[in-house]
Amino acid sequence: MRANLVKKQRVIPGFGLTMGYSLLYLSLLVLIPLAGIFLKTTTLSWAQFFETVAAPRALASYRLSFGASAVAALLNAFFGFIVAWVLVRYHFPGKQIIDAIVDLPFALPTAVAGIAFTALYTTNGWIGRWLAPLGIKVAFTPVGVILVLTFIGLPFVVRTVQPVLQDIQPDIEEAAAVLGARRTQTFTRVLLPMLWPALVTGFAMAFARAVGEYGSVIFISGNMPMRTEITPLLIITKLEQYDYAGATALAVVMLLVSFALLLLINTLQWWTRRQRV
Amino acid sequence: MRIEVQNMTKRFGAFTALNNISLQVQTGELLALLGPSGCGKTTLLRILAGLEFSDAGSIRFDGEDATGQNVRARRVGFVFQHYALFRHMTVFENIAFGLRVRPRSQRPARVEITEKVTNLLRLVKLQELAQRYPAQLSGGQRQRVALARALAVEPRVLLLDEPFGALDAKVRQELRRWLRRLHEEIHITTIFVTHDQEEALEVADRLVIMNSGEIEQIGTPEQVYHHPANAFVFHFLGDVNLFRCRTENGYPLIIGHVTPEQPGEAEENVAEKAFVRPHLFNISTQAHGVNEIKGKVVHINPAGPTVKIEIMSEWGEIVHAHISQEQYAELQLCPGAQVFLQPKQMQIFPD
Repeated sequence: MRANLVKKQRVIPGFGLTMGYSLLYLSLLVLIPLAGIFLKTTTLSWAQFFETVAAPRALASYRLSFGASAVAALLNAFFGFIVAWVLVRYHFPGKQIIDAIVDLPFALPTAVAGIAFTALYTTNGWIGRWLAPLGIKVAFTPVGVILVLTFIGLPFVVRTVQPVLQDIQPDIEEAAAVLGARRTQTFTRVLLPMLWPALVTGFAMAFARAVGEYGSVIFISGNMPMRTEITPLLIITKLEQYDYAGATALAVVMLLVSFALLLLINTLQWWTRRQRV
Repeated sequence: MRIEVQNMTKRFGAFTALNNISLQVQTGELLALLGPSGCGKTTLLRILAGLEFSDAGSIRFDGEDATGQNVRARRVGFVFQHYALFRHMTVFENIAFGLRVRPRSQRPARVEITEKVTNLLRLVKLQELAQRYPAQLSGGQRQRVALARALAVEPRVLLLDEPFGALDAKVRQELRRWLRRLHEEIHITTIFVTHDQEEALEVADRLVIMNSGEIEQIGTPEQVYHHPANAFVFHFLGDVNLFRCRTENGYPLIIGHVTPEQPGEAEENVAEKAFVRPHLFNISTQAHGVNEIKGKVVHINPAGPTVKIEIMSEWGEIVHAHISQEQYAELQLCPGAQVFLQPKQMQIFPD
């Protein structure tokens, strides 16, 4: 009992100070604003709440927001994996440049990306004009939404898979080969399972990021209700109509889904750590 | 399986890792490739496994040409220095891997795999740890898993790359005795690479001593230790004192006045190297007048089975001498004392 009371000596002091700062910081930036959303929503009755969040236009926007985000994150999981593979496994001139380009979607204002994509993919844009005769329309359709969401989610999978792939020593693959595994077996049974947790984490992060995206989508989607309207835009629309409670009700739905996703990511990370100890 | 290596050469850019090496390994033999780092021993092992390919020369497995055969076709077992276990698989799955990846027609049934893995777990004494992940094992346990995994595919030859290199001294010693016993039990042709002469001398049936891409000597531990082919081998297999010497009137002389009992075989007045093992000195505090090195005690380390003494010779070289605890008690040496060293045995090699 007494031993527990003896303060543990740490090399670096300041636990109280840093912990207090962290709590304040998180409260001011995250917890208080989010609590405000819930508070504002409570001004609605349950009936009004469900009427708002389950309106056909709202449902259509969830479908687009979450559906397009899922497709974009899947595309990123696949192609991001390939980019990470190339960056880790091969040496070629300009590798550093490609490595830097991967981070560009982090840095670029997403509205700029949205405008650039729209200009390229409208029916008379540089790329859009070649797709139009084939009957493929990108700008002002869900395909366009998926396109920009893929763009903004690109770095996540690359940056989560890359370090893990870097850590895999060549002797692991040699061991598999000596034991008689073919290349495809080495990939599917050894490499992929080792990379899987990182890949899923990257996917979940890209997905969460895409769900919250606003700036780029509003330019390329055309914002047609029931067709190409994402939930964040619907929230803005409600705000512009001074329907604050309705806007926060939609925000609560998004918040809960985002929270569920973060929980999933953390569970995955915990699961990964447990396996490696 | 019998292995023949003929005239093998391997270069990495300008660096010659193996220079025209020829070697035969007998069926069931436990062979050590011994040498300092960078001598080419690991490269040779990797070429035998098919993880690397030589620039010239050939390999025969039981008389059959295997030079260009790929790693899967060779059916060798390879244990990596850092184990290379699959960290996302349990111990059981690691060992079963080689059986599970076989083409369907050659793959044993599920029950057979379980039985085989269980037997191997028993062989490496890890039955209780079958469901653990590699991260939950100690270094010695991981090494045994790696060995069991290599044995699971019933290899024709077992190749081990510095198998005990990453382990601490105590575990190392236990494991190498265990490997020796295991080899007596299963009698598979085994080649292991090491830079630790003690390990090689203790475990191997025969040693191949390598230096900068070439073989210096091949022989049993007894042969290479007591009849070293050259200065390098003598120097590499244990502690030595090196003296410059030249032969005069048929006797090799160190700095003009110390000679061994026997006349030398070397030519007159040619620079030579004389080696004396530290435990092959007569040490006394009184001068005898002949064949001795005069010096002062600099440092004494009495811990261990022998007492290790550093002596500064009269011409300013440090000489190491090992004496028994009894003799140490008798002589009552302390740093600064004057002593006289008589070499009991000297090995002379051309410089």
